[in-house]
Amino acid sequence: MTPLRLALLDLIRKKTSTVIVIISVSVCVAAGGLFLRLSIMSGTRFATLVEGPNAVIGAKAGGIELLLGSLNQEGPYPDFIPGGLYQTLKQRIQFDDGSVYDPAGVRHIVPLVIFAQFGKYRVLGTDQEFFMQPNAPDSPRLLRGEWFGPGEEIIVGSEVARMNDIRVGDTLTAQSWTSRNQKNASPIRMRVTGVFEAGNSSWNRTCFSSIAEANRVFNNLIGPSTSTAAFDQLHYLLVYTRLGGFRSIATLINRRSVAELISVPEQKAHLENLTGTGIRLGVSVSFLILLLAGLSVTGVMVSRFDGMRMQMAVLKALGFTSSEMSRWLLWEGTILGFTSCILGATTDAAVFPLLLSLLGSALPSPDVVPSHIYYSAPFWIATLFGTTLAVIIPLFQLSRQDAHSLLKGL
Amino acid sequence: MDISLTDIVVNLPDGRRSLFQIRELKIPYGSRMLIHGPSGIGKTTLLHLIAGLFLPDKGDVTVGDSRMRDMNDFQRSGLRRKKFGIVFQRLNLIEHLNAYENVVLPLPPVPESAERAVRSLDKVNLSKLRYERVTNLSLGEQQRVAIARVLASNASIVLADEPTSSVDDKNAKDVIDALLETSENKTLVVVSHDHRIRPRFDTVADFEQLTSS
Repeated sequence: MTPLRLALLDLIRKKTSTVIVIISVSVCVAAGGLFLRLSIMSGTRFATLVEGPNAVIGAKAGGIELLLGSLNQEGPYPDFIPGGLYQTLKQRIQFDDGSVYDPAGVRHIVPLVIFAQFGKYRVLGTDQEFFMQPNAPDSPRLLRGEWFGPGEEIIVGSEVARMNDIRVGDTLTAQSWTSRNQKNASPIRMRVTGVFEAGNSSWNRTCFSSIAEANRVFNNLIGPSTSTAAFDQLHYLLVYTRLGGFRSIATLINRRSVAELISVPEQKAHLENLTGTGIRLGVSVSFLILLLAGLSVTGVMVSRFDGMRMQMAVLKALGFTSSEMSRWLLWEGTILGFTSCILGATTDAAVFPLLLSLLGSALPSPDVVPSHIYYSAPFWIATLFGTTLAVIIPLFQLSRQDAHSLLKGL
Repeated sequence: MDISLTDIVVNLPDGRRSLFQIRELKIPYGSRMLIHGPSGIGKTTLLHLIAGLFLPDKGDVTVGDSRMRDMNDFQRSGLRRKKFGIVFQRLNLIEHLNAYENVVLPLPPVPESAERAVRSLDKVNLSKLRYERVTNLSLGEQQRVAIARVLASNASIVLADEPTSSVDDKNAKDVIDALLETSENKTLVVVSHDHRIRPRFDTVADFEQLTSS
């Protein structure tokens, strides 16, 4: 009888013990994998957050939501802010209470309005200010083509172009996206005039067109009787302030408008504090689970093999060599480890979407920050390593086994 | 293939006291020997010694041309597999395997092995129970499975340890019949304290005399 057949028979015939081992190990694999993937997902969010603007203006929604919506292209469809604010910020204003808003504190402003989606990618309306941002780390640069005009033209981010094989001159069809609970989307055909260079930010997965094009879409949806000038709203204003400028803008925006101004560094630090603790906790728990999984696998396997010492002595007496018995144990460990990994990975894959929906906006959308099943691979490797390690101990015992004493019951 | 034991000293596990000593024991090929003696004096140990499951503290065990002390563990396992068939006192069948699987267990993984196993089970009248787990078999049936395992192995030396210790007169006779039939043209060494089986053997050695000589 071959060692493999012996291992299979052993596993199949000792069903209860086999099933308990597989379930316990696969639960460890699934739990560890889930924690690790959540931690990675949470940590990856910071990698694509646009760097550059030090303030953002948007509808009152909470600092972190504003930060992530404007600079990481995630979250639900935001509320509007009056388009007039964009012009107001460029003027000096004296208020009745004597306070003054001085535009000298503002270095640069970029307007953004979300009006469509191309697949999972957002299409933003903006103006020439977007391309004239101060020399920030994530300033977008064209790889090919030219800036869009006011008509039905679009520039796509590097990921959008790569994933959809888009070239300059192609025409793409986006779907209008104009409200949080939109029911009917209408197609918008636009000609691609340029493709951005690949960077490290969420601009890679964003498309840009003109504010005029965005207004046209909004006006079409509002109704034919309305003039194109009727729609004048935005979602975000990305602001580069000068020293001391932030306080001046805050005076205007937070006290005298429906909008909210947030400090990007402050909100980033806040988000990092919140999720950083989660990430550290997640990684720590993952490693604890990994350690526990390894130990439980080893423990279960050692006790399983310990119960087979008599069987090993009989096999030795029947003429089985140590090498054959080692192969039998290794097969058994490998089959248990491999089956547990498959079951654990399947559970991980099945439970992960459910967990994401339960956690809601606490985590980025998988569209924004993908989390592949193979991120859990360290747990699979650790499990296979654990099951193999668990075999090493009985193998060592086997090498020192005194079959004569065992068979005599000494 | 003769078996020879010379100047054997086997100590108890504490290493200080001797369990038994044998100056010389020769078992010629083809003989049917019963080694008789009371329980607990080292008969099983003697069988294990002959099978090379351990080495004596002093002295030599030789099987044919092979001196156990000159062989490593791997070589002794190989010799056991090729030349020995052992019926253990507690039978030592693998509980979760069926009768057929227990018989085929030590055989090489070739198609003929399956045929040999089936034939052996037929010979001990267990063909109908071949797919029955050994735990579902009676003690007598389990004993016959152990004998079928030896029969299938085609061993030239058959060692049996107290094969009749837990069976009634009728079953004891059947077991010895099966063993004698199994070991035709082979060497058979049985250790037992059972007086009922003495008349069935060509050579009967008293363990106590053997170890005091």
